[in-house]
Amino acid sequence: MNLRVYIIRRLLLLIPVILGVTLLIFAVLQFLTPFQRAAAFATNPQDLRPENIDRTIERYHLNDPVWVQYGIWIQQVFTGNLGLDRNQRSVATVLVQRAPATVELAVYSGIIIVIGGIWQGTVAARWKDRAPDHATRVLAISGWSLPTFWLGLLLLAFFYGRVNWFPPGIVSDWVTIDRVNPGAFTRHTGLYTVDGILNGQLDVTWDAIVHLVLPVFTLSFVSWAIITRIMRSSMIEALSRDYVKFARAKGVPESVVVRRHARRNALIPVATVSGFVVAGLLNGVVITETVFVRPGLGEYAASAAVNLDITAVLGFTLVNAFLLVITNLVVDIMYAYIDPRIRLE
Amino acid sequence: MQPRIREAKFGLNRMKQNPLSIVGLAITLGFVVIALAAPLLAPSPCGRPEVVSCNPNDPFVMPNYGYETEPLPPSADHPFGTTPGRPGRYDIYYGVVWGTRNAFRVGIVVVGLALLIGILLGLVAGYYGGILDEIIMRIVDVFLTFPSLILAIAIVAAFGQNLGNIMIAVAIVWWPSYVRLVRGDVLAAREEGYVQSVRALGASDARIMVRHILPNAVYPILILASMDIGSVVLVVAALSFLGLGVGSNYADWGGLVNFTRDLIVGQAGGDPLAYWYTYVYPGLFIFLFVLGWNLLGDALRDVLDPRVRRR
Amino acid sequence: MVDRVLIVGGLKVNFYTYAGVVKALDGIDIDLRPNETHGLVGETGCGKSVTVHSLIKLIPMPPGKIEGGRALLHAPVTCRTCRGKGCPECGGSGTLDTCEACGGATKCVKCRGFGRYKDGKSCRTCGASGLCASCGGSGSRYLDLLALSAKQMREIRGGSISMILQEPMSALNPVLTVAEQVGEAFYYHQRAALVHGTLAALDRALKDIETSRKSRWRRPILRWYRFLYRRMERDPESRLLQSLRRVPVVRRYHRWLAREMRAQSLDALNMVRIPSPEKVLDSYPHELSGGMMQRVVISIALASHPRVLIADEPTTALDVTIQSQILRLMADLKGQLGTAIIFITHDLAVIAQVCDRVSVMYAGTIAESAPTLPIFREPLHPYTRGLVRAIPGPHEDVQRLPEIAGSVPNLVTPPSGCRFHPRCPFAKAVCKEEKPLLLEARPSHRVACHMYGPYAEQWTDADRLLPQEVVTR
Repeated sequence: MNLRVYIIRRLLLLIPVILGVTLLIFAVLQFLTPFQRAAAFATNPQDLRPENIDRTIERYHLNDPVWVQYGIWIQQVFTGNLGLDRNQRSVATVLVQRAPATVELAVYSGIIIVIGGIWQGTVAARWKDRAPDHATRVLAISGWSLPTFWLGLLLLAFFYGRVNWFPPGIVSDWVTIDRVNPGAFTRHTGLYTVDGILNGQLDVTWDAIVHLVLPVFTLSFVSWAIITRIMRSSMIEALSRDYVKFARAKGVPESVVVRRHARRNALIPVATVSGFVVAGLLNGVVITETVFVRPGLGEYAASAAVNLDITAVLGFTLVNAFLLVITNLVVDIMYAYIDPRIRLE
Repeated sequence: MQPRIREAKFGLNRMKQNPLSIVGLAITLGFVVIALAAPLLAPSPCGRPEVVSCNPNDPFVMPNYGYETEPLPPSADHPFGTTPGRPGRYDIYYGVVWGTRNAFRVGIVVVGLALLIGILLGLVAGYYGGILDEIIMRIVDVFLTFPSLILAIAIVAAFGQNLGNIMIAVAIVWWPSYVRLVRGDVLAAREEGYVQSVRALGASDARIMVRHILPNAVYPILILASMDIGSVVLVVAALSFLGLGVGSNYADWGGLVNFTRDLIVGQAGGDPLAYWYTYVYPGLFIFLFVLGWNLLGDALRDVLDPRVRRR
Repeated sequence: MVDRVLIVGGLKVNFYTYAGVVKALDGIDIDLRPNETHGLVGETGCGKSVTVHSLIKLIPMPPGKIEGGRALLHAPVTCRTCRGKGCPECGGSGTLDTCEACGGATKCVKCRGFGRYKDGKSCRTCGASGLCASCGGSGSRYLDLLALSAKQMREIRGGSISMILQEPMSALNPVLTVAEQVGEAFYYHQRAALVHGTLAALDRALKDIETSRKSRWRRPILRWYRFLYRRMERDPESRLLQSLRRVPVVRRYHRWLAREMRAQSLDALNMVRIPSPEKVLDSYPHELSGGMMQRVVISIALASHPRVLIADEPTTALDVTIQSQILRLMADLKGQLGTAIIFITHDLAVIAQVCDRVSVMYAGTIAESAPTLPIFREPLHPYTRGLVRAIPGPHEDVQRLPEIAGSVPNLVTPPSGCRFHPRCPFAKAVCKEEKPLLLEARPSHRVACHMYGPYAEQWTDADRLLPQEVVTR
């Protein structure tokens, strides 16, 4: 069965989900008064001033029947207008500005989680019930139970407070003051680690890495634990299967049996979980950025929530939902790639 | 009833074999004791001269010992120390003890609520199937598309920051997974012989669902769901930590940790480790609580999993 | 031609579990003759699978442990002096086939063939038989499977001894294509032949370029590949070459070998008579029917022309029409390749159809071992008699199948002495005390039962063979 057809089908199924997502956010919006809702549509701070507010409400049909409002809102959202936040800045613009910081954190964490978790799960399964396995299980279950924010605080207290190795924030002050502001450093991608290389200023890259160590560790810890557990149990399951026995009976070396036969099958449940892992990353980013004072998407959402900045929170939520939808799609496709049986559906 | 007792005994036996599950059980029981004995362990000190403000009617409001910025280290008066004075010096020991009770309250209510909705919708979806099933499952999918914490934040931000809203928000985030589980079990049970025969006898749909399918399908899910109490507390703690919680003087673990954020990040070189007690104790309680539930849940899951039981 | 391909003697295997020590195998003796199909029959749980799995060390060794015994595989080596061509060293045959221990003398090295020492104690090494333990008294060269290192065992598995499993559906990895899995067998056992073929293909390609003068840019690449493969010829296990397979662009060299593997796999599939083998090669297991999958499994097992094929209930999971096809296929291939087959099953009908000799197992011991016809015509062991009697014939009008009383014993606490004695209608005191050895009661017909052993006089001839129990077919 064709991989391509499967992808197309999945894309089509996406539409009702996106519809539902937008409906849900819209429903939450409806609980606010038209004055508050106006902020979700406005593009210009002037529109929200008392003398202009009624005109704004008129323009966006905020007193009209629900379905009309929904239509207008969808239109606005898909043209990139997520409204103005409490500080009168365009939500969409702020999100775009802050995105690179979050991307940097999330991507590095993601890589570590996936590679680390798969590797450790394999090791734990291979040496089942022996020292590496026990150590892994203890770590995994602690990781799963640990509050992310607490871990972050503890790490920060020691590694920053006591020994000052890994400070919070994204980059040190000298980077901003001496390099970026005077124009000596162009931010091509917004990711300091990459930009450092692109600018030929590796000290900036190093500085960014130093600031990334603790946040990445904190963010990865919980998800790593999840992946390790799943990988371990699915590896144990796979290793007990007949085709593994047959492969051994064929005379295939054990390392190849583990790698080629068992692991590829064991990755299937892991692929299923990776959707959750990404969701966990998105969740975790909110907390991690807050703890380590990194001005990214998560920190924006957290402070917006505390300050009752509805538009910002809702804009952020919407973006997240879309991200997750796309991620699930990618995961499903990857799934179909790994396991040929799925394509039959 | 007999086979159930036998199964339970077998299950208990297996649990005894696993040392981690015993640890989990011990931890959880310990917390239960703390929660129940809260009034004894941390009686309300209202009326004492050092207490600046206090609410004798609501023990969950922590007594305030002053507004000086510097937190007090652990001492005889304050076994776990106090929080920094902004917004108020609260006794951490008092906070974590009553926080235990709060945690149980929140956990049970949220899981209970989520279960209620989940079971209802799951039963209906599984039993009636067809278009109703499709609709419900699509709704579930939509909810599951949101990262849980973020959706909870959105709901709390929109509706207002109080304990009730937090519990509702987390319940809203939680119920979709239960629907899936219940629906699966109901689908399986629906085809069983006994359901067909009762239907042939003319029993109404509601009666079948409640009296026949529900007990069988839902029993394991109840147990699994109660294990979610730990995870729920974790989410609520995160929300409180972010500042979306109840109000800073409420006995809530996450809220207690929130106090110390500035302490740590604010000064480099001003040794935040000196104030370790402000964040270590509350966080430790959260960690142990969740750990206990997770260990217990793991053990129970092992026991209930038919494939593993064969040994 | 040697008279035994595989000699198993006194194989003891225990499993150390939570519930106790499971004494799964209690001294198994099996003789496998060249080119014969040897059936291993018994109830579920009697240890048939454990026996064959132990031979190639496939049992999980943490709970399992091989406590003792020997498993000798006839393993003549190519004469090193002449490399198989024939020389005075090897007596012209090209192979060295003398037992390393006794040098062909067939006498036990420890007791010098006497079986006992001066003080009357029987020789432990040869079990009082006096024959050399390393060659079973044949004088030929044997390999003790139980004493091999992990690396050596890996070469044996799939190489000299192959195994096919019960459910073909689960024996094949669902995420790999048939080509990848059949090719694996060749890759790990026929590497030399593959490299040889690849070099030949490379040479042909290079010559083509010379003559046709087209695509001359490929010449240096092909020359580079040829260099690599020549290295591989000299050192097939080369770590360096294997690690090169991980490097993105460089690893393309492997494609030539893969093409060779595919050609060989195609031949293998043709050998098992799979229709449209090209399509099958690129299919995934779940796209094939049960019979096809079993053929693929057989082709994998026979890829390197093993001396012994272990078939662990190969037809149990297939329906009857496919079953007969597969059995016929196996018989044909056996003749073609000269492989001996150990055929495990609990279906006596299949045994009758396919096997030359049969060993009946009960609760971890061999009860009886004889050619097929005598087993059915003249079953000596009471257990075998019970089994054979339970088969209804078409001309009989049975109300109720005669059954063997009792049930299979718990192997944690097996019965003392003869493991069958609690269920045996002929049991006497000695049966509870002493374990009967597998001895020859008739020519070529061995039984482990005291009725035919040293204590035979305790029973009458009537016990041994009740005329009306004789089954005539």
